[in-house]
Amino acid sequence: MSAELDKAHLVRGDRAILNTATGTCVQGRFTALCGPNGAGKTTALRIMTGSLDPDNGRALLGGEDIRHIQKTTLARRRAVVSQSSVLSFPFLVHEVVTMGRSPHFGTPGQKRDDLIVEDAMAAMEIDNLATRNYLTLSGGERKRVDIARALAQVWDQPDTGHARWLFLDEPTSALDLKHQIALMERLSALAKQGWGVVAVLHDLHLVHEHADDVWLFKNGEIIAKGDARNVLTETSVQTTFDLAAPYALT
Amino acid sequence: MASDAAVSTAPSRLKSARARQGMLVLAGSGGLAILGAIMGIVLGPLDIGLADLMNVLASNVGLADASEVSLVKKGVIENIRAPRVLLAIFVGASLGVAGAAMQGFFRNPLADPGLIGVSTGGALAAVAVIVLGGALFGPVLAVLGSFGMPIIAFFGSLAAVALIYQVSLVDGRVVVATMLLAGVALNSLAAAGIGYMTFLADDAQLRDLTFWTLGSLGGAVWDRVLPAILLMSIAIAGLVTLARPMNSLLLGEADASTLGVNVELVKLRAAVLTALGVGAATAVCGVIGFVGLVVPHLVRLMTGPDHRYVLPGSALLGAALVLFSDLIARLAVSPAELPLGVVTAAIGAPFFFWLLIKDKRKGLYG
Repeated sequence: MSAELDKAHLVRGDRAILNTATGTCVQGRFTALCGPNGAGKTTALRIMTGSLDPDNGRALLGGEDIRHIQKTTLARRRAVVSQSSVLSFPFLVHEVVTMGRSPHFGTPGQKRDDLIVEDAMAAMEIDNLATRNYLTLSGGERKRVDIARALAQVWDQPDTGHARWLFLDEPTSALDLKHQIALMERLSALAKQGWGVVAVLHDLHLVHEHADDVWLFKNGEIIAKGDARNVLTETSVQTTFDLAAPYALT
Repeated sequence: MASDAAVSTAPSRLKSARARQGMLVLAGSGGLAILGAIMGIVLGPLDIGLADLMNVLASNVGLADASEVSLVKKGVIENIRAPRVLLAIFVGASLGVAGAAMQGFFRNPLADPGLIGVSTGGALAAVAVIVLGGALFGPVLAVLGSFGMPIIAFFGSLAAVALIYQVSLVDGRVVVATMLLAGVALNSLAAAGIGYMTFLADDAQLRDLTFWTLGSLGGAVWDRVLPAILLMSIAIAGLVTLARPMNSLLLGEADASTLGVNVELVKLRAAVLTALGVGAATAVCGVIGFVGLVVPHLVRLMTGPDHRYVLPGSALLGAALVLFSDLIARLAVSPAELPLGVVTAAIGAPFFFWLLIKDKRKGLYG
């Protein structure tokens, strides 16, 4: 099982945001998408999640063109954590996490909603916030709630033969150091359990330590991809980010 | 294991606490609406007793004959107060649920159909029909019959929703200040339009026009009430069933979409059904402000923001609010009558100020 970009191409204005990008994220591995701002990471992620249609090329999930997967079916196979939340109504934390279960409404999986919500909250260490108003939380706490919601969405194995996929756009940006590390360990552990995990990340030290695979983006192209230890080198980072000097990763 | 089990019931306990509270609010609002309906029939210049009401009700379902009730009382109940009370219920429910739906649609608790011009859009369309009447709309009205006005007002309201949405949407997010200011602009435009129509109108039309701008249930006769009620019940039922996807929509359109919600379809249905409810309500009783602002807020304070309770709760409490407001309108200066819109504005405008002051630091939730 895999999540793939197949010659995905997207133009905005006269600029190719993503230039015929091809790559495969594998189930059971934690893939990090890295590169400078505006290099096309988020666009690639959004195309892979089916949130954005490319002008040319396509995205595949489990071998199927993502545009051909029915929306609720897709929602049971992959969850997405976006960069920021726009929720402006005073839902309680456990209610927000429960919203992740909405694609399972009317399915046998619905019976397990409460247990799954509890497990997902425990996984993100927000069980003590369960009855807090989401709007009164700090940015980092909100982010952990958003991630718990995504975990709850795909907590169970979906239809047999399909993997659980988790896509995250800069999930560590609002977190303090302790929770950044905890999240990276969690994502890595989920991958080891067989989930597919794909995240846009900026902290190359964290990526180097925890991710299995890395795609390096530059100017809308994937200029390097593969095993994190091989791809992330002092010189590849220097090239990707146009640094003046090689970048020490360890 | 024992402690595990104790912990694992926690989320379901939390959920059932909210559900219990939600059901309680629904029951309370429903009870209030029933009380308001009974008072609406019993109270008024002509003294009608509960016994009279029961007798007439029973005779209408064939359980008894109403010979004990005088023909005058029977006539007042059946042809004056009953249609008015029924209209109050549906207008209140429509405006309440439409307010809740608009607030979900715009992801902002200040989006009231009156404030942002959805009601006045409907009223402008209706007024244009009255004044320009025969010449332009004659054939349309002839075909639609008594559905004509509600349907024309529906299109006016729909145009208003579409316009406000287009104007206030920037990069996929609704800019609240723009939304409210666009509402101000639209309301001014409608006021100007209605003012111009007033200038063109003859005396009989003029009385109609005051009715449009201030709102009243005084025009409640069965011929006009029934078609409007039919359209409003479609709107109310349709909006209440949108509760789940509208909850997801509060997370933002992108997140709702990744949860499997067909965002465009839900938005379209919410907008069309809101315009239908508000347009039909406006067509029979003019612009009645603030119901859509006050009611969902009160419900949300009691149940939390979950649309599964907010939407039906707003329908029931909206019905209750309009029933009691109409009682005040009828009885305060009896035997004369206050415009209903005056009463709801007297309740709603201070409430609006209170909201602004309460959330001053939050910058309009925006």
